[in-house]
Amino acid sequence: MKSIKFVFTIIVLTTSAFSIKAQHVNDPSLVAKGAKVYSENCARCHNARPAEEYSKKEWSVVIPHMRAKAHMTGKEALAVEAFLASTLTADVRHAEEYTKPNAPKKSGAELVAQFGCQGCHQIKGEGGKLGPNLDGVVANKGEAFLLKKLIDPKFNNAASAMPKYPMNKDDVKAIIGFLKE
Amino acid sequence: MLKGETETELEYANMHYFFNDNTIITAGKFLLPFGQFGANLHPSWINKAVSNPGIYGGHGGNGSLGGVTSIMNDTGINVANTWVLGDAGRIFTDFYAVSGPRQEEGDHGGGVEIESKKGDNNDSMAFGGRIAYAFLPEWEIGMSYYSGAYSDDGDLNYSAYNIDFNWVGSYSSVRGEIFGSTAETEGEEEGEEEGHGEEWVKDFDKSGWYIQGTWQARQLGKSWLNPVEFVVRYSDIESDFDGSIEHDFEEDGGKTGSRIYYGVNYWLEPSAVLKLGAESTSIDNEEASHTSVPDDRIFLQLAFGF
Repeated sequence: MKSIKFVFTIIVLTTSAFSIKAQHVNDPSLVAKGAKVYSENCARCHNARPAEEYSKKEWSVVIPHMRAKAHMTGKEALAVEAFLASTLTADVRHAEEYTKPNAPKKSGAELVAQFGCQGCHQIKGEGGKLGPNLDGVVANKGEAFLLKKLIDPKFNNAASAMPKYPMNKDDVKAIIGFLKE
Repeated sequence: MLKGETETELEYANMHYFFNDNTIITAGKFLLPFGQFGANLHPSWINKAVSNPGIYGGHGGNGSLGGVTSIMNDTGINVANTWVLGDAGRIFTDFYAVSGPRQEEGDHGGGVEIESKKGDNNDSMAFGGRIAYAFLPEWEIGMSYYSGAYSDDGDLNYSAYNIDFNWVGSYSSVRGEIFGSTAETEGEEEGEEEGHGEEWVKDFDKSGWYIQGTWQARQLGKSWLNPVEFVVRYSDIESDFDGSIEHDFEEDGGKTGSRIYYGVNYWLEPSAVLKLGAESTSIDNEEASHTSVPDDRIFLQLAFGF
């Protein structure tokens, strides 16, 4: 018994050394997929944790452990990591497009896709169910509520899993405009 | 005055080898994929209630129910696979070989104990696995099996099965497990005047189930209710203990019955919760448990997850 355990340990240690390191891919479709996987898997056992709870490096340690616990595939785990990295303010604001003062403005639809909102919310009948349905949300809650929610997602619910996205006022207005359509 | 005690234990310490996109090999000490509660749900900030489901007995220091012998963690190796069936369908499989259960020590010993910190007591390994189907994000149903020799000489076997299900909605969840175990026990009939009687091996069966529901009050749309969650959980355990097996499982056999828990949780953070709970345990066969213990409790717990 002891020898079996020892041999297995050696095998795992040896082969782990040749495993491929996960890559961070700045791909919008991967981010959207990651948001969906995040929405569908985390809450199977516990409250989803907002991205800002950990740094990008810390998430890269957490995700492989969670991949094993949740039975995610390697591709799914990579997508979740990309989604979480995309929402981390510190990481994204250092991206070139955020440092240029004359960076091109994005439409609400582009921003919703970029941030993977439909991973957790239904918009125009499509999306996840971890968060509230956003169809009609502007009419029901008002623009002021959405403005506050997008800037500080925890203002009305300390347990909210919604990440604090790296967006400026123009981005917020564009998203609200899109949700009004 | 009763003296308390503090127990520390390494719950898991393992390594994962990501063999390919779908397969993970885990080696070391790990939480066994047997049902859902022991493998994924028992940490305080994840467990919606303060106490454990009745089928998991007094683990954590609460409850007078004997519980079905908990299969929590052990040392060995596990191979996990994920099969993707379209956008939402998944099949999860786990198969493992571990050190296995051991014979309980102590005056009333002879029962089964699954505590890997005490090491292995025989040359036999235990084998088990879980097969689950998930329809993401809402449904998961799994079946688990575990079997291993527990006696010092390796002659007596312990086996257990578990069926678990999980439904998670936007504001509510329902989950539950059916858990059963069979432990072989041996003894000897009384012989005629100093002579040995006939030896026997009998099965001691124990089974139980629990069901848990939660509802998040944020569904009502009142912002002050957003962090509030209500929980109810019912558990029931029965065994075939009838006094005919005199020693080995008498202690556990006496503690069957049911337990109901009502709770209100206030979430301070996604991983920090203040729980207030009330629980009532009803023992079916108090005569067999030697003592009649009134067991109605109120809990207040602050749980924080890292």
